[in-house]
Amino acid sequence: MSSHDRPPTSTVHGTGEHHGRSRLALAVACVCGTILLFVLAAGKLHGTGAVGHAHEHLPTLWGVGILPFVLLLGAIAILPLVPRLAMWWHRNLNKLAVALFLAVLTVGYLYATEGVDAASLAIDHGVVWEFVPFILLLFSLYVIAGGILVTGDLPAHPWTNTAILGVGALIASVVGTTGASMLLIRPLLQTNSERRRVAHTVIFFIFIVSNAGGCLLPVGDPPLFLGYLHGVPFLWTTSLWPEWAMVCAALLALHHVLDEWMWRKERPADLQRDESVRIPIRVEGTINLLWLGLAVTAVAVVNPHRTLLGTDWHPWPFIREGLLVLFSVLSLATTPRGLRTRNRFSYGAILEVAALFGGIFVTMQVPLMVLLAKGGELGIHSPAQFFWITGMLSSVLDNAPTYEVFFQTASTISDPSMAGVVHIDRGVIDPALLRAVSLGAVFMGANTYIGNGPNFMVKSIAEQAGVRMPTFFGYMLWSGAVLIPLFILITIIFMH
Amino acid sequence: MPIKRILVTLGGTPFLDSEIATAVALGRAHGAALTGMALIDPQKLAAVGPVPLGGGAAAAELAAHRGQEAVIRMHVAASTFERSCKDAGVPCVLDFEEGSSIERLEMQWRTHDLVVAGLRGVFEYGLVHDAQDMVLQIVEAGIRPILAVALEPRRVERVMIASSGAHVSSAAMKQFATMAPYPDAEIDLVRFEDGGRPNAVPLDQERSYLEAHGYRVHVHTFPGPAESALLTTAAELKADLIVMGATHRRRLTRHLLGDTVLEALTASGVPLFLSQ
Repeated sequence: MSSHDRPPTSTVHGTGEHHGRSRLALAVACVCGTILLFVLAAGKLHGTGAVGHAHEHLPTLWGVGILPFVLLLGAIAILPLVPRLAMWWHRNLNKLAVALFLAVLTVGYLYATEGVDAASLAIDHGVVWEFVPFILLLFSLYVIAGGILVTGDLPAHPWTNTAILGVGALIASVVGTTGASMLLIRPLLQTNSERRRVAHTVIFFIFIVSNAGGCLLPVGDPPLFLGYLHGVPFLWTTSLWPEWAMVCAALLALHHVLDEWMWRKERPADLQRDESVRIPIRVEGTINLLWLGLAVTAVAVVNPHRTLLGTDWHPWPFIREGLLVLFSVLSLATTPRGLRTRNRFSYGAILEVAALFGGIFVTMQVPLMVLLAKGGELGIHSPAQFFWITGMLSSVLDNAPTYEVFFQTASTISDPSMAGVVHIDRGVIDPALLRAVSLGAVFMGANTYIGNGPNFMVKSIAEQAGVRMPTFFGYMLWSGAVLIPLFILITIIFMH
Repeated sequence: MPIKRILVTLGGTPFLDSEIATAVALGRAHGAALTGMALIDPQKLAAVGPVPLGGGAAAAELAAHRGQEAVIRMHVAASTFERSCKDAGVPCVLDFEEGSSIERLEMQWRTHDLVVAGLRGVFEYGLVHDAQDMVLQIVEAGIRPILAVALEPRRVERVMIASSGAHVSSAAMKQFATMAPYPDAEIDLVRFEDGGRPNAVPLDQERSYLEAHGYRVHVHTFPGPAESALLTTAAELKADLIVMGATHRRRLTRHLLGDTVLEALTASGVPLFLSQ
């Protein structure tokens, strides 16, 4: 198209409307969802226990059985890069259709090779006992944190920037890495709006707030919550504080030195303007701090597999999830009107996660069965190996399923008779291996823009604010130079 | 070959002011009309790179933001161009395009004598990262001659012609001589001798050709390959413009094997006249 006189209006669309294909996707999703429900019900009627365990033998033709999982992860990684398919893949309904379809393939495979019980258990485990608690936790933290708005414009001294990153490191474990990132990135960018050299601060923000900071509690990062769902005690992750402290302190120190250097290179006129514009930090929607505290307490205290604090009572299943939904609703009801709009809150991200993770949890069941039977033969034995392999894969794949895979592998090779084992739903896990897998999944999500959801969100927000962020490989130069040596040090000091 | 129509890429890059100033000066000197081409490449703007799970909404937002921002910057570039032409009394038209950058540029190039672009930026509007690659793509598409300008416009009084004696560099030299964008410039004809070349045109022949076209020519030889010495030689000679031939090579080959044009586009602070 060429128009000599008339300039085009914005022609880049974030979403496309393909009504015919939407109906098809909706139909596929509904059919697949129905099939899964049917199989679940059939298994229940057949007499499968409400919480059972998958058969601990190698499934027949497992190479075929793991394909849906591989295809789903592949689709997540590759489809956004294919120009013809990117627009189609963007729609959450299409993602849901693909995820459910692949889940049905997995269930079909299990039904064909292992029988209705195994097929039903896959849905029971994957959806009922893992996906539902997982997504409701993410949803509640996302909604509640989205009701807190932090604004302000302080002088962008290196100490200010480092302090903001430090606050992020502290709160990420409580609010979640995504919540902490969304809370702090805009005030950080606003504070630095008069400076020209800002990209490095955003990069370190991704390192610290969007990743490393979130390793002290299960609510800090989705993989750790999966561990908690498998029976890792809620406060176990606080034992990761030495590694957390070392990584965060090192990154904060590095950032400070770099920012001092960059600050001296700023133009005097820009620094003067920065000093003259001061808006005090203001936190709105503070009622959500109450809902957040209650949500985290609910996760910590209400566990159907453990007695309630000081009592002999086991909470009924899904009371915790019910409470999380309640606190989310209360957050929506009590947050001042318009605050979420000003916070640019939208449900897009959580809907996308929901659309895909249901399928991930079901399709993952076959690989987990394989690992249960053959995990010890993978040749991964030491904490260092678990740290690096979990980490390297978490750098390019979503860290939650990566954690799940290596958590299972570690559990398979753990000796139940060793002192200090952590008891989980499917057995035990060596605490040193659990430590390695947890840290690998959380820390190394920072290695690339795609290692963790908030990485890309922060990059996107920064670019929209005018910060020239590095390319995908340019960012990896930063993570390679800064993070990898740090992780080598972590390995030497802690992974033995 | 007189210059009568010049195509200027209005890509909102840091090179914009220099492109406009250079093109306006050429337009005034040669009585040429200018076409300012402003282009939105939706596919390029929407390519935000790999997206993690949960990042789809952020990716869509970024793509939409880029599109809106590109339109705004395009308008600014277009009005800057129009104003400059009007102030200089140079006839100009604006051409707004949407689509693939290379395809649309190639179509417009067919009816223009010279393309003026930035050394490291064409239609990015400061929003996408592949600046060097864009100019290489233009070269690869056969769009030549290109005058790739530096950040600051400059008066061209001394021109360095990089000669290897091969067909490509001789053709570039001929095109520059016959087009004569800067007829009053002094020429430094530099032969980079990379171990000798079969069928290389003797340097004296090239000199006499340039002198026949009215140029004052100084001849220099350099024993090593052009890739390693081109820019340092240009700096020593205080060249205001480098003329060089651009072979038809794939970008990947250039990146993998090294390439004089790539090196010049990446690192030069001096404008380049690229031809074949």
